[in-house]
Amino acid sequence: MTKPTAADRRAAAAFDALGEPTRRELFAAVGARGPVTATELAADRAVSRQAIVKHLQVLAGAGLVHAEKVGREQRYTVVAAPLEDAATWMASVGSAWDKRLAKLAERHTGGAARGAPR
Amino acid sequence: MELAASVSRSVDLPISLDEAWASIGEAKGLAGWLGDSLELEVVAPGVAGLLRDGDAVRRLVVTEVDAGRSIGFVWWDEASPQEASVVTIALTPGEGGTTVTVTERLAGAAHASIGFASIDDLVGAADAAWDQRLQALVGACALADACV
Repeated sequence: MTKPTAADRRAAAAFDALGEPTRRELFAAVGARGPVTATELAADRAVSRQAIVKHLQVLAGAGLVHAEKVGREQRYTVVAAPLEDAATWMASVGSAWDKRLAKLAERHTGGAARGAPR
Repeated sequence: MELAASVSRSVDLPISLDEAWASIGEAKGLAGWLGDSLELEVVAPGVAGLLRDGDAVRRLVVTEVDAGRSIGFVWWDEASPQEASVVTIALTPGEGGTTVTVTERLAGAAHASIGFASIDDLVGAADAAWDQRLQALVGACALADACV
């Protein structure tokens, strides 16, 4: 069984942040447009710049975007690492459950193929 | 929409729901496959347990039981209580047997998803539930004059 790591914490924070539809859309937009400001993102949307800044701050807090000050504004870019952390967590936890369920199946079937986890 | 890192796995067993439930809804049954050893008095909401698996030690608190159908618990590595995740194990009748489906969901604050402000509060509630059970047992013993 694997122990939770800092990467697991980042993965959880990333999924929490992306649980909100507007933030998911903004995250995708930042990824598609490259370095972009909240003002530029607000120009294309029926959402205030202030609201967009708040969403971007949540994404930044989860490590999903990086903010760099350029002049009077922040320019945001996507950081992929937290999503890679989430994929790693899912692979690790999935593997642990595969082993447990194989043990359960072995108890009841003697390890027959029908009992293999899927 | 809620979005969470989650993992789901299923296995088909050529046994009845009742037989499968013995491996899910009974502490002794769970202990045989969930890890190397499981200290859990009974599978009931609010009961806390300790699972050892290899070098890992995990604490868990049962959060829900739908008799004969499913159980749910929150568990976390003893060293990282802030990293709790929510697990459900459900049984469904399948063709010629029973399907066991496990889902584990990682959330930033799994305890919050079941109504507790912190893992400490969750464990405290489990302890309090046991205090109540023991007090009820003591009361029953006194009424029956059967206490030793």
